[in-house]
Amino acid sequence: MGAKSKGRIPRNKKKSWKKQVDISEVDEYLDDVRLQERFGGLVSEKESDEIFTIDKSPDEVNPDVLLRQKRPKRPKVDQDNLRCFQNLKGLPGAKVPVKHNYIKDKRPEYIKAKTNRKKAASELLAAVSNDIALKKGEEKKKQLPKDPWADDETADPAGDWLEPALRKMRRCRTEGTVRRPLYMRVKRSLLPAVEPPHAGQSYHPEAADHSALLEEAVLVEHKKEADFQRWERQTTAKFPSRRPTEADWIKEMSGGLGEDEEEKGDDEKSVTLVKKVPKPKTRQQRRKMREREVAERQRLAAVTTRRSENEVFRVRTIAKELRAREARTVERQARRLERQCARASQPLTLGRERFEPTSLELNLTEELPGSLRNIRVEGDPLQERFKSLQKRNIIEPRVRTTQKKKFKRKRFDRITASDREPNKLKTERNF
Amino acid sequence: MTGSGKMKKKYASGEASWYMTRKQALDKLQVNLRDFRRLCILKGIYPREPIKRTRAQKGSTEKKTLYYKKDIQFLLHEPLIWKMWDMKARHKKIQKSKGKRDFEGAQRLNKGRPKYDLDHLVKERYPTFSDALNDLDDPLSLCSLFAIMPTVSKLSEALVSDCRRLTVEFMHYVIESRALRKAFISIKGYYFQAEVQGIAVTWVMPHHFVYMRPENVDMKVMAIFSEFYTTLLGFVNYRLYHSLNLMYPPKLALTGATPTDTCMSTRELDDERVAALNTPLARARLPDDADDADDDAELALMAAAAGEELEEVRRRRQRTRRLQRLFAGCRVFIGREVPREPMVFAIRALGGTCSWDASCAPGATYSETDETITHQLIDRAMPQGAKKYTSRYYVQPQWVFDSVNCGDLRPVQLYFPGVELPPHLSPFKEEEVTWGEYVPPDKLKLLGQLQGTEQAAAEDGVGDNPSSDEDADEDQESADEKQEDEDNEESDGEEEDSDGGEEMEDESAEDSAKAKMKVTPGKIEKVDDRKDKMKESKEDFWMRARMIKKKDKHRFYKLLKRKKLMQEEARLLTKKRQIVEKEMAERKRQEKKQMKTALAQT
Repeated sequence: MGAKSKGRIPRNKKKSWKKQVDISEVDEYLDDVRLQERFGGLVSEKESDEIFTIDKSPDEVNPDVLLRQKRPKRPKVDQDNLRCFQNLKGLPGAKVPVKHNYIKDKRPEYIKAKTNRKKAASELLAAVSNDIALKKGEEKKKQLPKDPWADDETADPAGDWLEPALRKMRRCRTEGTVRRPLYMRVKRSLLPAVEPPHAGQSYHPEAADHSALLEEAVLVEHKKEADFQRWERQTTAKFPSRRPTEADWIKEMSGGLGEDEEEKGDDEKSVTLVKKVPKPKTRQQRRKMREREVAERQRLAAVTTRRSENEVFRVRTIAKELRAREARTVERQARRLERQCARASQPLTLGRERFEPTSLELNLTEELPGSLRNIRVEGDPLQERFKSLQKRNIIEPRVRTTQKKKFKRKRFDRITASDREPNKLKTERNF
Repeated sequence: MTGSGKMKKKYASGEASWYMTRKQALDKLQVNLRDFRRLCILKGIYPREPIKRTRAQKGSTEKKTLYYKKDIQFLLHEPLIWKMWDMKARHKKIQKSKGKRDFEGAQRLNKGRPKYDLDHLVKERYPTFSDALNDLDDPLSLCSLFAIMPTVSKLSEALVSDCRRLTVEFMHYVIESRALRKAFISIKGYYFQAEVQGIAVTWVMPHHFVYMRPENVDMKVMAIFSEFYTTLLGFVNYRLYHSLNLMYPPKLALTGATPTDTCMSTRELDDERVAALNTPLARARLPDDADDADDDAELALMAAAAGEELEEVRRRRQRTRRLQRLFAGCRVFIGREVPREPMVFAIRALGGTCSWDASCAPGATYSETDETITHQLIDRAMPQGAKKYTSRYYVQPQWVFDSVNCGDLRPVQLYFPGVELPPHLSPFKEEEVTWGEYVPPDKLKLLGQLQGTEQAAAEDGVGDNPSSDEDADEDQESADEKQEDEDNEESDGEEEDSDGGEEMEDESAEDSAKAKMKVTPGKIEKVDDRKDKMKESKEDFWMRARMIKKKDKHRFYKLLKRKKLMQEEARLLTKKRQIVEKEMAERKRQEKKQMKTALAQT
C-alpha cells in the first residue's frame, strides 16, 4: 500500500491524503469483510474445524491405469479423403475395393438353430454354476474357521503322498502352500509327555512304595558321590603334591640362577660347537645300493606271484573269511539299531549344554502328612514341564545368560599441582 | 584312461549337507533369535542330533545346535515369518521415535502392531483329530499350570485367563462324557486320566497353593508353548463339545437360583459358575441312549482290533460302565478346608452331585443343612458346637479318589475323620510280574482285586474300631447298601451271561413232573472250554520250553523252581492266615459271650 508516485504530494495535510492516496485496496478488503459477514462470519476468525474437513478416504487411484504405458495414438484417418481412393472419387457407382474377410456360415438353418440353442444352454449353466460357486464362497466366509478337522472322515490321509508328483506340484503352486514334510510327524522321543508318578510319590503312600522311592533317591545320591570320588581320584589324588605357592613359583623361576656363573667357565672349555656332516657316498656304494634295491623288488614280486598262484588253494579259507565278515556286519548292524532305539527314549545332545534331570521329588518319612490338608508339596510343576520338554528333545537345554552391560570406564589423569611445579611440591611433601 | 572328473569337494553332500547351524538359520530367515525360537516352537520344528557331529558340522568339533536344512526351508514359506519381518521393521521405527522422544508416535506405532493368529498351524501340525487327541497331555498340563499363575508383567493376563477357561471347558467335557478313569493325589499335584474317544489323556493339575516361579525356567519359552496350546485346546474343545451336542462357549443348563453377589457383574458371575464345574451344561439336543445297548458285534470288532479276547473286552466295558455311575446317588458336601476343584471334578465326572458353603465360592447348589446329603468331606476336627447330622457319612477326601481308582465305593468307616487312613495307592503303577508269591489280603483289597469279599472286610473294620452302637448300625447299613448295589449290578450286567445250562435243568424238572413215559430231552453235554484251554496252554508252554537253547535251559529250570517255591510258600502262608483268622473269630465270639453273661448277671 503506497501512495501514487505522481510527482510530489504534500503529505502533511489530511486533505491531500484524502485526495491523492489510493484506497482501492482498503475498500476491496472491507467489501470482502462485509461479504464474509453476510455469509456467516469472518473466515479468519473461524476454527479450522468449521472450514476444513479431514479427507479420510484416500484418493482413488487405479494402479492398473497408471501403470499401463500409453501408446501414442494414431491420428484419425479421414476415410473419405484417402489418397489411395482419390482415383475412385471420380467414378460414381464403383464398388469399394475392400474385401470383407469373413467366412460365411453355409450350414443349413435348422442346424444353426440347434447350435445356438446349445450355446445358450451352456451359457446359462455356466452362469448358474458360477452363482453356486459364489454362494459357496460366501458361505465359507460366513462360517468361522472353527473346526479344522471337519472333513476328517472324507479326507484320505494316505492320499497326500500317493498323489502323482506332477499334480501335487501343480496344486501346491496354485494353493500357494507348502506341505509339511512327512518326517516331521515322527515323534521326537518315545517318552510320555506326562510321566506317570512313582507310587511312592503319593501324598499318603504305602510303606513298600515309599521305601522303594527312597531307595531310588539313595541310589541317585550314591551315584553322585561315586562321581565326585572319581573326579577326586583322577585329579587331586593323581598329583599328591600340594598346590604351588608363590614361594614355589619364585623358586622355580629362579632355579639355576645362582649356579650360572660357576658353570660358565667350564662350558667354554668343554663344548665345541661343530656340526657333523655325513661323508658323501662313493660311486661304488651308490651302484651297490641300486643293485640291492632291484634285487629286493624282484624278490618281492616273485613272492606276490607265488602267493596269488597259491590263492587257488585258499578258496575255502577265503569263503570262510567272507562269511565271518558278513556275520560280523549283521551283528554290528543289529547292535547299531539297538543303540538307535535306545536313543529314542533318552535325551539327546542338542547343544552345548547337557540335559540335567531334576532331583527326585519325595517326602521323607517324618514329612508325610496325616491328611490332605497338611500335604507338603514337592517339586515345581513348571520346572517339571520345562525339563520334560528338554527331555523329549523338543527344546535344547540352555543355561541362562545374563548380559551385563560393561561400561568402559573413563580414565584420565588428574593434573595435580605436583605436575605443574614438581620441585616445589616435592619439598612440601617432605615436610 | 577314464576322464578325470571334477574333484569332489569335502562336506558338499551327505550328512554334512543335511544340517544347518542355528546361526546360519537366523541369517537365512532374517529373524533374531527370539523370533526364531518362537517360530520353531509354533511350527513344531526342533533341533536335531546328527549321527556324526564332526561330519555334520563340516569338521568343527564344537557342539552346536543343528537344524535340518529342510526344516529351515520349510519355515521360509510360513506366513508368520512375514509378520515377524513387519514387526521387526516396526520395532525399529518405534525405537527411533522413542529416541526422538516422540512417545505419542511410539504409542501409535505400538498400537498398530501386526497381529497374528495360529489357526492354520493346528491343522498343519495335527492333520487328523486323533493326532491332536494323542498329543493332548502336554497342553492340558501346561494350561492347567498357567491357569493358576499370578499375572505379572511378563505374563499376559489374557493368556492366563484363556488357559483357565480352556482347562475348565475340557473338564466340563470329561464330566459330561463321564470319561474320567483314574485319579491320583501326588505330592507333585493331582494326576487325572480320562478316556477321550478311546484315547487315554493324562494330565497334572497343580496343587492350589501360592505359586512361586522357579528361577531357572525360561518363562518366555513356556509362554510361547502355552500360546500355541491354547489355540489347539480351543479347537479340540469345540469339536469335543459338538460331539456331545453341547453348546460351545459352555452355557449352564440351569440359570442360577443362588443369590447374586454384588461384587461381580452377571457375566463374571456366569463365568465363575461355569468354572465351579457344578452344574450340567446346556445341550443343543439331548443325547440318544443308543450307546447303552450292549452291541455284541461292536464289542467283537473292538476285541479283534485290539487282539484280545471278547470276554476280556466285555468285562472291561462293564467295569467302565460301573465306574461311570460310581457316585450316582451320592450327594456330597465339601468342607471349606478341602481342595474344591479336584474333588468336584472327580465326583461330578462319575455321576455324583456336590455342593459347598455358599460363602466359599459361587456355584453352590445346596447348603450344609440339607438332609439329603449322603457324604460330607471333612479334613479337620469337627468344630465345637457344630451340628452333626446322622443322615450322612463324614469322610476324609481321600475316600473320593480311592473310590475312583478302586472302581467301587470304598467302605466309609476306613475314612472317618480322625481315623488313620489306608495308604493312597497309585493307579498308574504298572502291575509287577508276580511269581505267585504271597500277597496279604489287605493289600489285595487295596488294589481293588478283592471286591467280592469287601463285606467281610467291613465287618472286620467294625470289630477293630471301638465304635458306638450308632456307628455299628451305620456300618451295617452301608454294608447292606453295598450288597444291594452289587446285586443290582450283577443283574444289570450279567443277564446275558447267565448260564444256558440252568434253564435247561429247570425245564427238565418240569417235564419229569408231567409224565414219565414221554421222551425226555437229552442233556446237552457240557463242554468245559476253560479246562480245555488250560490244558492246551499248558501243552503250548512245554512245547515252547523245548525251544529254549541248551545253554539257557539251566536258568529256565531255576526260574521254574523258584516259582514253585514261591507258590508253596504262599499256600502255607494263606493257610496260616486262615487258621489265625479262625482263632481270632473264635476268641471274639467268646469275649462277646462273656460280656453278655456279665451283662445278664448285673
